[in-house]
Amino acid sequence: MSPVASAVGAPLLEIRGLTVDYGEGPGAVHAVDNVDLVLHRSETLGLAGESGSGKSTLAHAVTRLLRPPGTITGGQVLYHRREGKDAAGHVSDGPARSGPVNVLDMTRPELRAFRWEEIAIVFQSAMNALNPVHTVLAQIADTLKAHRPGITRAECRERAAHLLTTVGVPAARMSAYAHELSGGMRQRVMIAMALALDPEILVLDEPTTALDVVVQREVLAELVRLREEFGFSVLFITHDLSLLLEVADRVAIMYAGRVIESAPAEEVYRDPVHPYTRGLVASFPPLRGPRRELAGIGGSPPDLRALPPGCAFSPRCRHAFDRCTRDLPLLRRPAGAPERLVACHLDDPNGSADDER
Amino acid sequence: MTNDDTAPVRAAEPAKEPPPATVPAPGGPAEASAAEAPAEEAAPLLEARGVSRHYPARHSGRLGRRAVVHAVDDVSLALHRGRITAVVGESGSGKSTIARVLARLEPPTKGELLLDGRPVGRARGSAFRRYLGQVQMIFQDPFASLNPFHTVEHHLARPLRLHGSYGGKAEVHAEVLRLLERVSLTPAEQFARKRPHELSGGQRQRVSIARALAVRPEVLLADEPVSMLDVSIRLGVLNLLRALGHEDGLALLYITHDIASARYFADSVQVMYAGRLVEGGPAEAVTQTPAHPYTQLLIDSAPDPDRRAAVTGERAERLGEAPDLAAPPSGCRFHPRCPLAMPVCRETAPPHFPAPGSPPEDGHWAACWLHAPDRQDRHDDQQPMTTGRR
Repeated sequence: MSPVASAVGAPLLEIRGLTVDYGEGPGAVHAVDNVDLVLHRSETLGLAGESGSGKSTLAHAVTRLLRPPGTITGGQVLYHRREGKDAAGHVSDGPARSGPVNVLDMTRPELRAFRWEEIAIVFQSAMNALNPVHTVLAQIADTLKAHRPGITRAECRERAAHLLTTVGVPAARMSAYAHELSGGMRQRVMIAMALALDPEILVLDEPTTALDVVVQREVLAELVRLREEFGFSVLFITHDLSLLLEVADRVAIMYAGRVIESAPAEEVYRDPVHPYTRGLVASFPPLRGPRRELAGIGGSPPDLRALPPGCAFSPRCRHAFDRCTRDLPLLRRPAGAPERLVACHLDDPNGSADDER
Repeated sequence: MTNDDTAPVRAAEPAKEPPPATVPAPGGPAEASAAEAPAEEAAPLLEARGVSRHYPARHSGRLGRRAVVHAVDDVSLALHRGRITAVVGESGSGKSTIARVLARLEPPTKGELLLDGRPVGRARGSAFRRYLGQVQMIFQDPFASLNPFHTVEHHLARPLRLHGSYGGKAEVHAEVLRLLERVSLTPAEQFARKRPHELSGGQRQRVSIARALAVRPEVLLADEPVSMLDVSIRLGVLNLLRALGHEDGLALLYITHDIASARYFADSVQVMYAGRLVEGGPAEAVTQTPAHPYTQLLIDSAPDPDRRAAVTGERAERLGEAPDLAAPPSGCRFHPRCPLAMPVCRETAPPHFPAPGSPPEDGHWAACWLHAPDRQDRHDDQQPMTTGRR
């Protein structure tokens, strides 16, 4: 699948055929199965899916944070560094080496430099992600010292104060411990830390799920503002599609480890194509407009240990026909929708199975 | 399959709350006088009157005084036959405590419960068991509320034996199968033999629902029944609950943090903030013309793809977070975050005032000084928050 360069910018992170297994051998579960995804420069890419769809596993694989028994068994994650930076992200004096780097091939030192400088991740649970025995300042300083060896204490303080103010936390709170901060504050501190080294990509894994709606709204507005200010790209992962449709430029929907549809957020909302996407969009009752009966999606979420042959969604799909239980639908571009990819046999002009790769 | 939506909502809405008091002494025995006029056609089936629930805090307060967490303060709530009442609030607002008090899992610190108009005593024993035969609860986490060692059949047969009058094993078994069919777990024979780990979250929650219905209750208290479930199956469970509620004429309490689902599912909506109810009325009235600034904030904060264009990077107004209930703010508990707070809000807790813009017979009220009758003159310029975002 070749990436489409949309209006937002050139590809920044290209995920190609990424496959992640839990366990080994015939009993292995493909938590992420042959996923292609492109994050463009200055874009917010939303990744939506239910529990077990592989969205968090994907984020961990891309940042190389996956722990055993999870293993990356295939694919590439290509990072297109900015001109004039070397593979590790340091600005080099010599001529820039061309071409993207594969994150999955990086050595430990390269990875150390790559993380935080180029890609930073904010996890769902800020309480667990912050160290309870260190102050906020100590944790921000830790990151800074590791990546900027010569930095002085005064500079760390100054940078921490600036970062905290940027995300809307009073600078005086830098000497606070995690338990002294409210949930919203903690998540803001996490975002401040992620921005410490001005990364190109911010991965947000359910960043607001643990927050109340009012605070969630404030944190989201802050993120949108920061993105406009710093110009980083965002990979936003959540189960809450209604939220994603609001904040993301483009949305990819995952089901049972595969991307089954991706399109600009507006199109996903107005005109979802895949039956699962359609069901998911209709699973969020509207707050405004007429009240009407909604059905959700029947059946149960898929069991990755026992996926049906063909399309994983076919047992729950109202439109399933014999081909769906036989052939795995691959992502294809429907006619007249240049920015959309759908993995569904419905409306497939090549009605037969001969378009398998 | 269930009711059609808006029309019957308004028609059937009785004046659920006691008549709005104009003196700042809401709830409590003062309003027990409302009981003298229960002539309206639908008396509440289960009612909480001026219920408070306080917990001793782990740490002692200042000067060695025992600190008290005011989880629920002075809440009056009425559940009616065949109707769904939603209580909406954020975490820590006390909404689950309300359900637990109504289920008599916890005693109220103040106030009383009335079932069918009769006060509910504090006795445990057989009176408590009779109560449970009428009032059942569904918990949030279907992974924690079912025993992993027991089969589905065991879970359903137990309440049948305890509360029912069934002849023998065969009769109980037949009833178990009937219950499973009611919650669409078919083939029932197969599901009866399964253990919780063999079921998905949605299926487990259906077992919980079947278990609650086993005793043929009149009141069903559902505490966040779908928030642990995958998005795609939530509506299925809610629709099932609504259908079953209508079939049996159940009085249903729906506790949720999701005001959009409350609008979808419930007939009436009560909004809770920091231990107090701040607004209540028909679901459409509360969600479409919210009168309390907190309800307006809640609705403006909820994700809404329709407002996509409205997302801007402008610095969000920071309103702070919910208060510490060990030391709740004086007066209206929302006043520290309220953009429209006035001096009176700091001093005196507002009583229930009729909400402007809704016909009085709707029973739409808000506990907000903005709607005090003697402030009518200022309403026009104090109502800017109903639409758009902050």
